[in-house]
Amino acid sequence: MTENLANVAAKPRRSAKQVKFLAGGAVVVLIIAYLIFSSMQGATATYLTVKDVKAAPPSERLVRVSGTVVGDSIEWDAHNVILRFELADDTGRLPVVYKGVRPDMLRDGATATAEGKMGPDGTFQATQILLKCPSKYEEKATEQAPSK
Amino acid sequence: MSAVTVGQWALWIALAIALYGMIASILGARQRIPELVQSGRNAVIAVAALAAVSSASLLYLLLTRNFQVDYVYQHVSTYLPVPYVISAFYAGQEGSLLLWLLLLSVAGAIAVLNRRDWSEDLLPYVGAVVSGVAAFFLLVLATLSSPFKLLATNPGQGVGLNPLLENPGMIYHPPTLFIGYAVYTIPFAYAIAALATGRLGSGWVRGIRLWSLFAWLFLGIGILLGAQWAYVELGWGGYWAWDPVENSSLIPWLVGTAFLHSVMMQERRGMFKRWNIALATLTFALCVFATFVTRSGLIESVHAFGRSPLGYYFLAFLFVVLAVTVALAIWRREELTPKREIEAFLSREFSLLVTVLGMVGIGLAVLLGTLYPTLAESLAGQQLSVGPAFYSRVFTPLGAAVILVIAICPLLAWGKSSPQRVLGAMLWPGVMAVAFGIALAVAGIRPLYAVLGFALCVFVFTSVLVEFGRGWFARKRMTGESYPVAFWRLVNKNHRRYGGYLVHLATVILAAGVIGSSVYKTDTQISMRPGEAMQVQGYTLKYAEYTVQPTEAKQRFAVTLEVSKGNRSLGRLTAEKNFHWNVEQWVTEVAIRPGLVEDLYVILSGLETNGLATLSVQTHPMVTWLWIGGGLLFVGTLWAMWPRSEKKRSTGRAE
Amino acid sequence: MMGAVLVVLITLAAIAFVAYPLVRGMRQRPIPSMPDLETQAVYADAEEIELDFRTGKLDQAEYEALTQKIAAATGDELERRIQAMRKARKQAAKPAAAGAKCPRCGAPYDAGDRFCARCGASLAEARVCSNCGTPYDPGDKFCARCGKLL
Repeated sequence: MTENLANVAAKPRRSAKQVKFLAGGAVVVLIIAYLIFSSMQGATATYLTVKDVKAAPPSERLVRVSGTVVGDSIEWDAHNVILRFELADDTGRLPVVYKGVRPDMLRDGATATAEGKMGPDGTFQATQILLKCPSKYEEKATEQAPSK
Repeated sequence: MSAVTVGQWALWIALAIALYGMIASILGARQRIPELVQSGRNAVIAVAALAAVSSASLLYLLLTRNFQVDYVYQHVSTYLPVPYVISAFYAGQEGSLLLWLLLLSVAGAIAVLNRRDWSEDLLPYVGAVVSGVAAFFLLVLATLSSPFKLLATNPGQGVGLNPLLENPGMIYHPPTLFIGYAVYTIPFAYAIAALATGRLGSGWVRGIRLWSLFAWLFLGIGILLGAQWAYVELGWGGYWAWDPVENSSLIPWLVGTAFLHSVMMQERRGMFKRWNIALATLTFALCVFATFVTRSGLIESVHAFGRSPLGYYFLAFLFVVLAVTVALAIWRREELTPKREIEAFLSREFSLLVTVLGMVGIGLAVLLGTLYPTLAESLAGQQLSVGPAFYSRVFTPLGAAVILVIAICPLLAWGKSSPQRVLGAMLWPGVMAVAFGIALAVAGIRPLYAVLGFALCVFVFTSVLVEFGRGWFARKRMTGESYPVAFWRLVNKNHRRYGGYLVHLATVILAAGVIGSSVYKTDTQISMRPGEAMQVQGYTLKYAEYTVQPTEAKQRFAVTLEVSKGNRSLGRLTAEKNFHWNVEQWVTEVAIRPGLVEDLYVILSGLETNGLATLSVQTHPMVTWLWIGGGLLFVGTLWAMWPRSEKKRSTGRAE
Repeated sequence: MMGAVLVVLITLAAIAFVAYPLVRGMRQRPIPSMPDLETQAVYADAEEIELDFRTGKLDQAEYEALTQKIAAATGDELERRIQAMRKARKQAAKPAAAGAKCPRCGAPYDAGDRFCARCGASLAEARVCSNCGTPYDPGDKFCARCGKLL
């Protein structure tokens, strides 16, 4: 009983002493939270359809466009390392320019995602091209996936 | 086909026994029926044995290339070399889950067999948790994702392994990671056992010390091996892409690091009890989550694909894991209240708190970045992606802060340190860091934040060395031993402390490697005709010859370059790009000339019939430092795990 | 067919193994014991503080405060023993400052030395009872004269 009383009496003093360390910890947490939050701004790229990309006003924001690669549109300039191709989705076709190495899996019918922004000439200036692995195993797996 | 029957049935029997084992262990422990507890213990061992039987069946089917088994058909072909046939065991979802189960149940069996007087009360619950987790994996394996599904007919030839996976990395990277994931079940099981029994003292955290170090080591090495594999094989010119699958393996490692540190607080100070329970559970949950991300395709990724009901099973399991822990922790909230409190900001306690918060914070940031696209899509219906910019913005300041804490934390004493002493201890490291920073800046190294980063690394490096030195000289003074003997006895007397310091050194080397390779990476696109020579980043590349040649498995395209720097010849490099028939896919074989300062990294991006080659010539500075740091990390952790000899331990501090 | 036979055999073996303890009852096997963990923790704690002190992370006052705190926090018998040993050492060190000599070879030594610099004899626990000052042998638990716990 006396022990309990002692505990009760000790508690407020204890927590008062602890407050500054809790505050110290809270400051650390807040800094981390702020970093996460502020970094998220501007590091995200929105997915748009071909139509929306074409309609969007020129902007510095990065966007992503997904679609199927149109086989006959692929032009690979090996000398200057420039890749041109068209991406097609349900809403239209988008000419894409990419200065860089031709991805191995780029071919007709491959699902590709281009990240970049619209150029003034109406072609999409990609900074990154991502391709879904089309190996048989994975194709089978993606077939099972419900289409979005 | 008896291997199929045996393999599949072993899973069903194991499922029944695991469920029984879970109930028997809990009942036996609660009702104090030793026979039932022993039976539960045997159940854990039986599950491990059955998992081994099932795994052996699958391995047998793979090695005999029985293509009527769907899993074998998908991952093996007649011309796949035997080592890769073995690695096909975990090339797909079903086999990976079976490997998880095998590792988890073997670790569990070792844990319950390793009886000690202090763990006798905990072990039944440890066995129950291991059985429960095993039951989940068995349920998934037996029903949803069986590696023993049969095709109607035997196709005679299999699809074979994705050629990207045909790399030595495939043989050792996934199992290493999986060992880490699976073994983290044991700390979690102990946490639950501690909660269930109410024995929340330092006993359980001591019981799991080796387990969590072991799991942490394998996870860390597995991540590094994966990075190395991506670097040498995947050919996109880097070792880390902030891909969700990579991220998901990093998160439990970060939280596991926090756990390693918070455990010390409970052992030494009886503090952080709640943290330890939370971190043990979180690390395990994140390991399961990592498996789930890799295997469910919840998150869009280069190698996470396909959606199946598997995802819901995993989510439900994660929910149960967290709910059970939270419920037990609320029930035991009284016992979880710490006895001691932090006494000062300048104390090892507070700096450990900062370490834990920092590691969990970084882990949380990576988790958020990984999940954000999925959350945004499912909650706001908006499709977006989080780029590497997010990670570098979060990682740079937090990484620097964590590295700084590494330097300061060991200088602080338990309880409270005086500022003068800490500042005094930081004098030499500070002088070294400033001198080094100025030297770099004068030498023309830019940008300044990289110089700052390197100076920080030197600061930490020196302060760890000074720590070694201080202990060494103090011991020499104390004992009068010769210098080598004093050093050996010092590091041998406290494996944990000095192993930890070695790991800190390794972290700094890793950090320096990360700074160097991410800031100073170069990439030049060139095209050349045979016989031509070009200058790239101080290297002279002479196009020696090219090969276009079909083989059984692939159409081979290769370009050989003669590389020299100044007047010094650096030998020949062959970059390849091959078309693999079986998967109708191009695979790049990068040519790398590694060096301590920088790696020369050449990708063949195109080769035309007239020999016109397009090459991506990259330099990756200080990547080798990552592998050196990884090696030191391994040695340091091993040292920290190494037991002190029994004799010394029993005599305690008799000296 | 072979498969079915194997499955039956495996099932029976597994069930037999799991049910065995229930049928046969428990044979009590001794559980390997480990040195008491709490004791180890205290040792580790004390060792840590000792090294911190020796490497200059703690000054004398902080060091003493911490060692006392350990004893107070655990209220452990063993703690008091460590404390007593420390006290004894300190008392032994005091005369040393005034020019003590090694009990074995007679070479003078400095305060805080634990071993004789000349002959290597142990000086640290210049083993005298903290209560009555009677020397004792290593390993003794109680003072042979006054009976104080050492």
